[in-house]
Amino acid sequence: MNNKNYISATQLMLMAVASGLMFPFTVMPLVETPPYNQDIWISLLGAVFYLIIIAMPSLILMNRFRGVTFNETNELILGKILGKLSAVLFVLLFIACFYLCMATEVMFIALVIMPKTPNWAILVCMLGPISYAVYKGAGVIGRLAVFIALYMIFNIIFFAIFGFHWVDFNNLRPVLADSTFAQINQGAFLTASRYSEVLIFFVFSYFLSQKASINKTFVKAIGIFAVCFLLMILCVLLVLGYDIAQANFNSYYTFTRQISISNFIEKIEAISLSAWFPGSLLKLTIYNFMACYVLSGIFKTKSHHGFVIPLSVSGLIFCLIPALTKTDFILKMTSNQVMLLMILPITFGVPLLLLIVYLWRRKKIGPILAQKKQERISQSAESSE
Amino acid sequence: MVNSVLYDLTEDGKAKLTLEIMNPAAPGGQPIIYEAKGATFAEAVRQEMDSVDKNLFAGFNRARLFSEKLAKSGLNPLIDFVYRNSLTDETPLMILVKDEDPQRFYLCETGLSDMMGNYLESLSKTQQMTTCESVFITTLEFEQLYYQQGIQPVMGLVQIIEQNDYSTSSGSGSSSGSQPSAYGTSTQGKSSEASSGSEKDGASQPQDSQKNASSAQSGGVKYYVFYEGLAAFKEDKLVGYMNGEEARAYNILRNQFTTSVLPFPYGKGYITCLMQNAKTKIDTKLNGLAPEITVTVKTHMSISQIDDQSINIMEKEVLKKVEQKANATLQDQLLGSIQKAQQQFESDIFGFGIYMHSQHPQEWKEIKYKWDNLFVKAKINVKVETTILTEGSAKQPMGQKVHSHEQ
Repeated sequence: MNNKNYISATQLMLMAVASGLMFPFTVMPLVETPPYNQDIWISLLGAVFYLIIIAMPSLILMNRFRGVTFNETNELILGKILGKLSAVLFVLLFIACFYLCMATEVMFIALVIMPKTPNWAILVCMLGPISYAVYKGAGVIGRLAVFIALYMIFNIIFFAIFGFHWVDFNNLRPVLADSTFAQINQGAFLTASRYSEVLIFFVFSYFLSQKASINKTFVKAIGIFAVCFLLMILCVLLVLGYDIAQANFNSYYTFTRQISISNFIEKIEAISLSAWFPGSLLKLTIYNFMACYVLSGIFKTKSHHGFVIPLSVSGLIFCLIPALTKTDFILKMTSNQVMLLMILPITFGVPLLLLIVYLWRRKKIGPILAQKKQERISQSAESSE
Repeated sequence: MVNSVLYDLTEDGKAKLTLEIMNPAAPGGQPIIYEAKGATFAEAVRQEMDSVDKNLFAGFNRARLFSEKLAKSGLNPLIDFVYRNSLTDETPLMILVKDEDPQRFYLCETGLSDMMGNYLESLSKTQQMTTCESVFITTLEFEQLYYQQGIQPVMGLVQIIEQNDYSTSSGSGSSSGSQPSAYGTSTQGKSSEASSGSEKDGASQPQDSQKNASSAQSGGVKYYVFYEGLAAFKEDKLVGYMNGEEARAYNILRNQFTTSVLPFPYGKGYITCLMQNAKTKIDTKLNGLAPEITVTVKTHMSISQIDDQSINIMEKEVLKKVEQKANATLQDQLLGSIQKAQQQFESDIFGFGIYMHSQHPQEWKEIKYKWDNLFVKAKINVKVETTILTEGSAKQPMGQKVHSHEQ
């Protein structure tokens, strides 16, 4: 690993925040979760609790296998063949997320922003910068995240402030009267189960500078993500109301369309789009990189570079297949039910399995792990000299 | 750039669209008006392009106008079109044109604005700060009212006033400055074709008042916009109209009231009060399946005009009597408006259902689908508490002073 590929804790945190915020920015899945009424924002608060539980096995593994690559972690715990199989499961999720996110974003651009532009032109414009950033590696992605994530957070705060004029607090009434605890709990669980960004920590923690604490970085990322998400959903509910929000494909964008400054500066949804588009590219870059990086670990190639173009081209082809880019197909694939089945087994199930096996084989893995860590320390010392 | 759109139906039920398009090249910003027809509004928009040589941009559209015919047939297909189309957004005002020929709207005077869309938008900013006898509902607000349970939608109401004898009035020496006063009279009148028996003595019909207006235009007929009252809907269909007075009651009950004047008979003439800061509290009860709604309005007023010079408003007893009279007047107006919605429209445009929902959430689950029927039978109690804070800058009626000097 080259020195320039180290990322700081802030960079990793902002990568996870930006990637996590892209779903509410694009489709606001929370409006499609129980309790299906004005109380959905409360279930978001509950989601934070589930997020930490879901991330727990991954966090324990990351801390124990600090300085060891993602593939090495899998292979150390499960052995070579099963370790590769486990890594393949992660790759499949990364590729599925890459394809589905790209298809969703292209669909939104084609439907709402640029209906006359052909999909292939939008895809080419997206895949160019994505491939370049993935090719350059983790360091570049980390540095990009600082600019893009901060701009996204600034945008959310900006619209929350200027949207206050349109706020109607009656839209949140009655509070907790129409929902049961079970419904809010279910909504919280479904919201948390969609959060695949814990895997960003799992893959990128290898590039994280040794001084940084993974746990602290993760908690900060969850905190910032939850606050931003809460601001977004409250803006949507307070300005549009639940019924309108649910009927919209992109309710946050519809919210931004209502905002003007002093009845003078209008159509400022463009400012929101100026954060949404780079954010989309960043999320796609992160998932593309993770897929390429883990693939390179599986096939033991020198670098991930050889996988970048094939993966991008396969994404382009996927997004041009008419049957796979139909609105109803994409909405079904990004629905809570499908996301739960697709993401949760990989973000929670596989890491839990890895953790159990690790605890079972701890005595055998311990010396090998210590040796690997020692090799890594001496390697990094040599490269710094 | 589209400034306003009028949606109408042809005689054979097809969609008819009239667009007001900004023409930057024209002197004085005179807009271009285009008309198109199609089986649906989506088709009509495309048909428009048969005549328009530039791409249409509706991002700065200020108003969506609807003919009575279309509103009665239902706005659902149109709302769906607006919702789906990337060119349309939710910020334009929703206004109903109550006229046999709604196309005449684009022949109306635009005041100090250059286009009808801009004119209506300016009106939405100025009128709510002076009379509060109309509603300005954006497309988003209309959609919210349409989607939400426990409330029915309303939209702004425009009537077209025809003035065909202005050549006489201009010849009679009235200056161009009289035009605003004509508007003033018509607004104060509160009576229009939409009025339903709530005209006050001395209030003139808008048509009559406009006869005082002067114009430099030569030949033909001149049209004016009369923006007052509201159009009430049940689901997506027009069910009736409310006049200015009733629209003010709507604004008070929806807690959207800003300011208005309330004239009521007292002594030998009228006392006119300036109403400010009306706050409405709505309490609901459910006795079995019989809802009871109690409306409490607290408002502050100040005296604007006293016709009868013998009234000394500085006397506490007189002031109390004036407050009681103001309470009774406002109470009658509020009750009349609610009863009209109950009996004529059978539509809860005031949103009492929302209060029922938030105050009785468990019971609401059972009655929400029956609410329209229950609202019609609901018992309504209205209580108004007026406080007259100031009596204007005059200590006593000005005529009384003159009178005492003469004595």
